[in-house]
Amino acid sequence: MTTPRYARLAGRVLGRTEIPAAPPLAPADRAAAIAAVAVAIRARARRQTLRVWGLSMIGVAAAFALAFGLSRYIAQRPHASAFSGPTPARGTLQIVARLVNANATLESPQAASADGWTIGAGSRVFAPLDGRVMLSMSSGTSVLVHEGGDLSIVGTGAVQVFRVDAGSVEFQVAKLSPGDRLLVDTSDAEVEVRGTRFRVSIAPDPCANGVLTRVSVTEGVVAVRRAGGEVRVRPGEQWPADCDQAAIPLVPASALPRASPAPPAPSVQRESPLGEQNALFAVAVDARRRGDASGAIAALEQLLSRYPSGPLDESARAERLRVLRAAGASRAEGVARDYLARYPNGFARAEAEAAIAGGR
Amino acid sequence: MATSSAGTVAKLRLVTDDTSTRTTRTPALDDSELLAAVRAGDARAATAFHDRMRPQVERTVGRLFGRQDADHEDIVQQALIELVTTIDRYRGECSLDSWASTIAAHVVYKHIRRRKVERRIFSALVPEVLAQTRSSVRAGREAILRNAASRVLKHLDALDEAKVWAFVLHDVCGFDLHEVARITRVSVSAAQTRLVRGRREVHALIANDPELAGLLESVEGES
Repeated sequence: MTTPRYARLAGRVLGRTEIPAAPPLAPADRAAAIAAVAVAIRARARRQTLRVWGLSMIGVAAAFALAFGLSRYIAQRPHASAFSGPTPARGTLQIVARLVNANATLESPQAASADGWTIGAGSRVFAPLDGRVMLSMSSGTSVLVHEGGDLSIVGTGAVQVFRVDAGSVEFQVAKLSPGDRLLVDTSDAEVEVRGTRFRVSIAPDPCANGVLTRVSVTEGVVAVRRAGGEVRVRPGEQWPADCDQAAIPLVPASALPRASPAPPAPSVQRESPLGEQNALFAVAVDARRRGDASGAIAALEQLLSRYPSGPLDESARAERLRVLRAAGASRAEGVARDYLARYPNGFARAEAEAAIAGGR
Repeated sequence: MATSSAGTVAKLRLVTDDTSTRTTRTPALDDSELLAAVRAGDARAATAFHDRMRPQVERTVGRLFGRQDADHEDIVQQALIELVTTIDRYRGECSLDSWASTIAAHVVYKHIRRRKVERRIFSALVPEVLAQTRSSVRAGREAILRNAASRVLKHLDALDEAKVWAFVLHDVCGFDLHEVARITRVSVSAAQTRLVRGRREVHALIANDPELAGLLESVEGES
């Protein structure tokens, strides 16, 4: 920064001016000046104290307001959470599954806590044939999977997505936060929650329009989308309107055991269909070893009906044949023929042929 | 009774104890102790604080405002109180004197801007400048210096106030740009802009006054 010449000279000249030294202060003036400084020091100290006190009071008030708001929020939540632990953060919805009826048993390789099984996105829930499974979510939403129902938990973030593949599932949805959604997918429809209580079922036979999904609403409104269209279903209404909801059995007909009382069917959560098939097969083997032929047959039937072309299909059919033969069931011959028709050179061919020969 | 080494008797000489001219001083505190005491709200430090800060405040106020103005004493007192109230802002980035000088200059700046009349910087200073300049060896040179200073001050009256403040604070009083910015409550870049433009305008005014330009040249040539 170069200073123009005359500006520099002017600055020097003015800088060289000397103001006469101040005369000594009279004692009275000095005392007055010191007193004023002392007053200023005390006033500053007082302000500092007040500021600290004020900030403290603001902090205390804010803490009270926060505590009050939290208590109101917790008190107004429509459903108490089944979780004893801390409420998980948004986007990490936690779900606890438990059997509703005490007589049923729940088979799962995963150990249960006192509350039930903690599951999450990717899990699949199969309700036993003689019991229902209640899912309690940290959001306050509860989902009841009726007997024989098949529910997958697809997403647990801001958009909660469930999939119903079989049976009937009843939702009681807690108030969603702004931006949150809850969707229920089926093979031929999508249901979005606008209300609070509704049921999604999969019928064994389609309506005249070919739809398997059934939706009935108890409270609030839900939106059902299919083939690019959207229908609002209100309390007391059903979708599709031209289908008879009362005709829907709660249990898929194919999964029901025909000739035996309902065994303690498994309800396990798995993160893959293969894991589920393994679990069902293990339940059947375990039941056979315990002498519970009905339970074994029910588990195998469930496995075969859900995964007709799965990797365990041949093993399940062979195992079913063994159980029926051991129990002396007349069905054994038909099951053996069925096995040979599917697997003419299967590993249980000799057993199947023996069953047919023994039946003659 | 004492005797001198030469054998003559030395008389006791009574000397008056002139308490009226002696100022009672409190035990000296160093700057850090003084600042700590004031920050802690210890009013007992008021005397030490006053005695430590007043000379610097007086110098700054005197240079910018003069001593003959009726408001001079009030301004000094205001500056001392301002030092107390803003003491938390002093973080040791400069000397305590520099900081006191900056605060005092700001008090003067505010005071002059609030005035209804005589709002020009140095307006009260001109007579004092004329009355006394730093003495030089020769009386003639001193007269030239006084004359040149008073004419420069009159020229400054014709310039924009903000630019004059920047010029005077920086080039005359020796404040750096950050201090100028703090005193006039503007950004450093704004202070710099004002300074550059102020210098340019001062130069132009003096260049249009050949007599003053000659005076300044002669003063420069003699120094």
